Amino acid sequence: MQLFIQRVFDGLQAGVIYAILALAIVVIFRASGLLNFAQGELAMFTTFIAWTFLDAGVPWWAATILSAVVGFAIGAVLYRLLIVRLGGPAGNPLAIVIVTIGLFLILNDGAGIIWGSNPAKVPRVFGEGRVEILGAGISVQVLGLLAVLAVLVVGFGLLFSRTKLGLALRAVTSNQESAGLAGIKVMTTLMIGWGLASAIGALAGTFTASQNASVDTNMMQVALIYAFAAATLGGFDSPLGAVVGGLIIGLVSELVVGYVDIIGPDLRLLPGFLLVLVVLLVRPQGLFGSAQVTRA
Amino acid sequence: MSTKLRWVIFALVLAIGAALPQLMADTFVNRMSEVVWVATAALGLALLTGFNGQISLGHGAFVGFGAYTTMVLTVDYGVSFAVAGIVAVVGAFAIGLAVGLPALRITGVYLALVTLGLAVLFPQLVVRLGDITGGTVGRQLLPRPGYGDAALLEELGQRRFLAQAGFKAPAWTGLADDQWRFYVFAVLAVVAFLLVRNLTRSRVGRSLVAIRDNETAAEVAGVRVAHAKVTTFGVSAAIASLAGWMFAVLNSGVSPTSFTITLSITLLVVAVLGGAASIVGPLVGAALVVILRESVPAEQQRFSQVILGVVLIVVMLVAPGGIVGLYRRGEANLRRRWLASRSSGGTPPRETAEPMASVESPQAH
Repeated sequence: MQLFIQRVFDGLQAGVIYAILALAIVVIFRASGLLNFAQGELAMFTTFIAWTFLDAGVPWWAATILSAVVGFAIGAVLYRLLIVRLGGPAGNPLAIVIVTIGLFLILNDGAGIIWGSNPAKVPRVFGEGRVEILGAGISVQVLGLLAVLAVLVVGFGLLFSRTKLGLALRAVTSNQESAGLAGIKVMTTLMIGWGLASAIGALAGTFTASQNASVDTNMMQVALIYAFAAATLGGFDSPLGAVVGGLIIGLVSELVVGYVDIIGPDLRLLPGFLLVLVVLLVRPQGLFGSAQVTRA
Repeated sequence: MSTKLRWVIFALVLAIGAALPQLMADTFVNRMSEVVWVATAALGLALLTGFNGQISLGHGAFVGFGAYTTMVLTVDYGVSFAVAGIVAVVGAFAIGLAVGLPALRITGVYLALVTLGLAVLFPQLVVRLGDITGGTVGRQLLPRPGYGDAALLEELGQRRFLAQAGFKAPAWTGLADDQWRFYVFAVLAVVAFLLVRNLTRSRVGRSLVAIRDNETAAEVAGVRVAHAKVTTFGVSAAIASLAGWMFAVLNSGVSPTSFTITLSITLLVVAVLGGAASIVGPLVGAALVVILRESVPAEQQRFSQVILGVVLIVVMLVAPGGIVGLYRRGEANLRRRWLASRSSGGTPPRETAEPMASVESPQAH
């Protein structure tokens, strides 16, 4: 029993990170109807920016917020200069996949060139403490991240459902032309959407780094796969779904790897992959997503 | 370009390809062999993505399947390379069909996601099945420098160790091994390219493009959408697996690090750079990518990814049809001008491009 609880906690620890990154993916999807394959690398890049601030003696929280601001700017500029040319939600999916993969390569290699490919040390923001619950240990770090996650989900839930900006974001995704005719500034709204997503990505990156106690150029690659899985599972248009999906993926991976011998640690990715495959086949909109009717 | 001129150029390329291995050093010949396997793998992807609109970020896994099947069969079971190649291609066709089935319901960006998972999963699977695949060490025909002797490889799990080098040129040819290898690759690649060419020019090919451009309309027009999409996935995987066979023969070995997500991305870059909705595109793209990689000095190698990324984005924004698309556009312009100058006074004739040339952007919806 104690082992089981320990594995649940370990699963949560991994799931928190997937959840935050999945949230960033969902925000971009909600705001522009696109998937960004460079999301993880963008997060890694901004994490290095945060590290640069940290290294210069800026306190942790300030560095994180600064990197989120820089991330916002990068996201908005990327949208304005690149993504807008691909035609938004109605654009050609292949072009979008390829351009974001191009960004992936540039950011991954670029970070290595700027900051070097060796991992750099990062402090744990919530400290090194551990609490005993039901006989199993969970680090204060994970509890802190869960709290941050809760704030983000509620925040974005409210943003999308209760604010003018959220309404504009939803309108623009649903139908750019009609939104424009209704007086919404389409370009600005979409720039804000991409900026917001990149800012959350920056948070996901700095929190991951803080959990690993280090930052390196490949830190987000596997996490991105899990985050995509989480967003698929929860539904690409649901912030709550992304978070629940992230936690489920973390838990399932940890428990299956722990209890099913055939899979073992080498195939950590398999359970999540199968889960996503089943979800896409049975309920393509995800657990919390809204079903879409496609017309040719 | 007239059909006759096309065939002349095709013959010319073949002749140069046949002559070069006689003239150049063996490292150059091996580079050419590399271009051929990369081009073949990208051809499989181009058929699926460029012509049929199914985005795969996981074709490296099919290449890996082919390479591993070849290596395990030849090293552990003493099967000949020819038989191993056939098993690899047929096996990949079956697996491709199996992957193609769920891909019927998972489309567009979601398919890209799932195949991305496949690409990441493949090296993990290889390590997990270490008893068969040799785990992180992989399978080698000859001990790699630093891996010591046969006894060590035996200990690492390689059941039978072939002392003789794998892919020898038969004596009657009088060729060096590397030259023989290249010729075999080239012949197989030409067969694969002709197969895809005939496929895309036929009724089947037109139905693939119709599905890509508007699935519902294609179905209404009587195309068996599911049948065509699944078969395309199978053929595409089989071609990628053939490329994997070439990889194994060329490198005399396999290890999981060769078939990571990087390979899948590289294949996509190759297909898109050359022009995903064309037959020649993958060859042009493969040559460019290999040349690009070779021309970047070793100490600057870390810039190569940045360069690739920039090239990808620029190509997508400026010439979504890739280099072949650019060429077609230029040719169509020239022809229009030429026709306009001939029929002076009349209205300039409308662009009458052949069906393939009108498919400039890889996907249109």
